[in-house]
Amino acid sequence: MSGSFPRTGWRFTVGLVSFAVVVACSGDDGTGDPASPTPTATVTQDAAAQAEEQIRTVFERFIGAVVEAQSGAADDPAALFEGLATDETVEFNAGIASRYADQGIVRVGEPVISDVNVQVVDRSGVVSACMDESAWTPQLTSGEAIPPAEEQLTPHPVVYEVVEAGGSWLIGEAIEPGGTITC
Amino acid sequence: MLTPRRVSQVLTAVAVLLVGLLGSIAPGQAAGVRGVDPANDPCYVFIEVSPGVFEYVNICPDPDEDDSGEDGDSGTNGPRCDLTEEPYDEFCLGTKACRADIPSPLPEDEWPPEETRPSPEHIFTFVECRVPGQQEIERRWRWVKPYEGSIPGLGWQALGRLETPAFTMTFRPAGMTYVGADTRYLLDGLGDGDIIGSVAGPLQATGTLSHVEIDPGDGSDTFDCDPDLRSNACEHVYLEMSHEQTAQDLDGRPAFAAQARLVYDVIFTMGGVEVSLPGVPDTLESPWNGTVVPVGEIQALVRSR
Repeated sequence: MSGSFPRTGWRFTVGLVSFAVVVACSGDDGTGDPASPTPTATVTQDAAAQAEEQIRTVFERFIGAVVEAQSGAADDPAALFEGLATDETVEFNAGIASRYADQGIVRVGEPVISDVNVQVVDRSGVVSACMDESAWTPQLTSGEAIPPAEEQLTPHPVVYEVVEAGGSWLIGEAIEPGGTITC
Repeated sequence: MLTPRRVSQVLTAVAVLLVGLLGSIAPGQAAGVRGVDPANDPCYVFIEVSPGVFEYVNICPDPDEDDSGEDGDSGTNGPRCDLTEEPYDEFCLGTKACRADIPSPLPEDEWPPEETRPSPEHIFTFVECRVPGQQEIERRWRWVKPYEGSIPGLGWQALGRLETPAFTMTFRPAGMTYVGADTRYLLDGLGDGDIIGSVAGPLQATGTLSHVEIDPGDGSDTFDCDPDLRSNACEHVYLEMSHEQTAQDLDGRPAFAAQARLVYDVIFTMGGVEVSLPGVPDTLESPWNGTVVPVGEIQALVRSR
């Protein structure tokens, strides 16, 4: 099966992450352990900020890889995702690119990504954003236009899980936005 | 030479082109685009293959699949493809040997518009095919008619679509019954006894009420009853009072928690013809639903006379 679908497990993980974020935040502004020196908190915050920055960069590059994979320009779409996504997500995206190649479909232009938001706890988290695909148009390799679907013209939320592996962050599965994000 | 007529033709063409371009740029004008674009091709649909991730899919069959309208059926001419290599051994699409995810991993509300569906028997799912003379496996989302061997999988899906009615349970004598008396149970909301599920691909499940199981709640065995409880109620004789029970009726009297569930015989039909599906249950039970039954001593009746 090439389709990748949300699993209850991930929902739980996301819930856990969201909960942990809340807990972590409420811990920050509360009266912390008097014995714990302030610098520790700063270091932790710095690490979190650093992780968030890395995730934003990886996400941006990941979307770039998705666009290139679906543009039909790459011979080996899977290679575009190297170091950016988990094996399953690489396979999933390479699958779409391969099906496009089979059917002679390409997408030209690119989506507009906005409102990127990162939540991370320890070694996993989620990155969410709004995706406007209206300028990322489908066509045939022959140049003939494919009428863009109505759904493509309205910005929609995307949420991906992110995991840390070997010191770097990888984009994992797409998960249900759950109605909390509006675009 | 540029004649006025020629100029007018060119201007008209440019105007049409501009309208087309503007239409495709302006967001929220999908209907306009579809109207103007000559490539208004129903072959291409946009499906959500993962949350927030969309994919364009060509859902029209390839020319070499033209005669595959009966794909998956055990046709009279035998298979036109080589079904000897696993896992591509499920059905033929023309000369392609294929397998499909059945039931579909895509929920039905994500399937392409109904007008693209070749027949009500087709399902939209992920299909992988081995193409003769080609190294790579062809993988595609598409409409397929489920082949014979996939039917049990769909049977489970069809079974899951049968909804048992939300019934209510009452008893007579109303309000309170007595040790040694005949207590009759009545169920309301059973409808005509038949339940019909929405179709799962080519399959439809139909349930016919077979009987009702009653648990009197006094520790005695569950027993079966005739389905038509309005004319032929089930009866039970309580042998002890309910005064030590924790359950209470609306008046606060201790009561037995009696309950019932409906048991249906299920048949599966394909195109109106009943099919047998080995391994798929042929009965379906409703959830238990009940009422509280306070049981008093018969002496109460004697004293009241």
